[in-house]
Amino acid sequence: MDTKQWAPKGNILDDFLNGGRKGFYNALFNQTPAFVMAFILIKVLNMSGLMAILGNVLSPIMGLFGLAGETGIVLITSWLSTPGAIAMMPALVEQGLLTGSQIAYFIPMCYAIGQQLQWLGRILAPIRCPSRYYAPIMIIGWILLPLIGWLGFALTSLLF
Amino acid sequence: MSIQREFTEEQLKKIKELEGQKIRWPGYVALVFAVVFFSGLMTNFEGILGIFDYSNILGTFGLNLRGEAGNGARDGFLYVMTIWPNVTVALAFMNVIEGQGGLLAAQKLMNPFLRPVLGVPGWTGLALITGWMCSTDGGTALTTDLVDNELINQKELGIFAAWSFVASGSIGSAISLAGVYQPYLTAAGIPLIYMFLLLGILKVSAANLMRLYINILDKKSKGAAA
Repeated sequence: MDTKQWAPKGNILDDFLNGGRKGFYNALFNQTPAFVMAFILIKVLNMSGLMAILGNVLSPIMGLFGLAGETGIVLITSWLSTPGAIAMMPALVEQGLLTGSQIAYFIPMCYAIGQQLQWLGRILAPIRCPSRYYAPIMIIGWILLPLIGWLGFALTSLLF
Repeated sequence: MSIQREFTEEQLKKIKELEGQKIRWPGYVALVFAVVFFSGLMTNFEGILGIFDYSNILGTFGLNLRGEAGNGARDGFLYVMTIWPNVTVALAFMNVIEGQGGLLAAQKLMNPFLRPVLGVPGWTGLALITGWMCSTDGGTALTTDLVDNELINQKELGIFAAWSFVASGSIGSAISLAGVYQPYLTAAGIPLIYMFLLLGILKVSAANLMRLYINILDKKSKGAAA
């Protein structure tokens, strides 16, 4: 379905309804598959025991940002799908592995390296960005990951 | 892609046209509304002020849709269903805001800052805002327009690509997913706008790191320093 038909035209009522259609379409066809995938991933990790193992392995790294080791799995998921990663967060909160104030800077961390392969195809290629810039741009995301993590960690602890 | 040092007469005319777009007052009203509505600043207000808040308008379900101890795909499905209203409402309001010229107003206000802060030409403003707040693909389409019309040179495109790439569509995405994490933020006393601020720092840093890289390490491209 072409979502361009729901683009805004200036009539407030029409725009509201069309925006709602766009949103609902998005929720149905983009977010639902992503969330289902994330929950399947969580279940597979839990059933296989990998969640605990990965949690231990990533613990020292994530600990640098004041985060539990299990959040590392969420970060990795974000590289593939950030909505999927965000979908995993409530489960971690329920298990006492993630708090609200951590989420405030952990989500930006997830976005920093989020969906890199997807954006390559959906942004860099269509805008005809020179291909020699692809690697530097992706690397910049990874450089900013710890930087925004530390900034967020420090700032959030300071302010809230 | 050819590097431009001087724009042709025709391009200058087109640029003047784009810059001359009139912003009517509904655009500024829409922009202010957008910032207040999605920022979370009015969340704790009752009465008239509280109307201008996304989470207040969303309200609550009145029942726990997910039940207890669900897991796997079915749990995920019910879970995302609890987010459906969030996305629907968010995009409904965003469409109105865009239709009233809110994005155009945002772009007009940002123009003076774009060259010094990011190193990109002013008319990337709309692509910048759209790609960050509304839709990745919308921003991509607008950027492709700029490239096709030769309004951006290679260096500037590299910088803008870095801006667009890192945390693409993050404000739009964060708003539509807010149902998932906002309760936890609110419980910790953190407004949504704080997270948006961090996202902004992220994107500005990405653009400037790319700007640094291009100016220092990228020997292949010539043309005016961005």
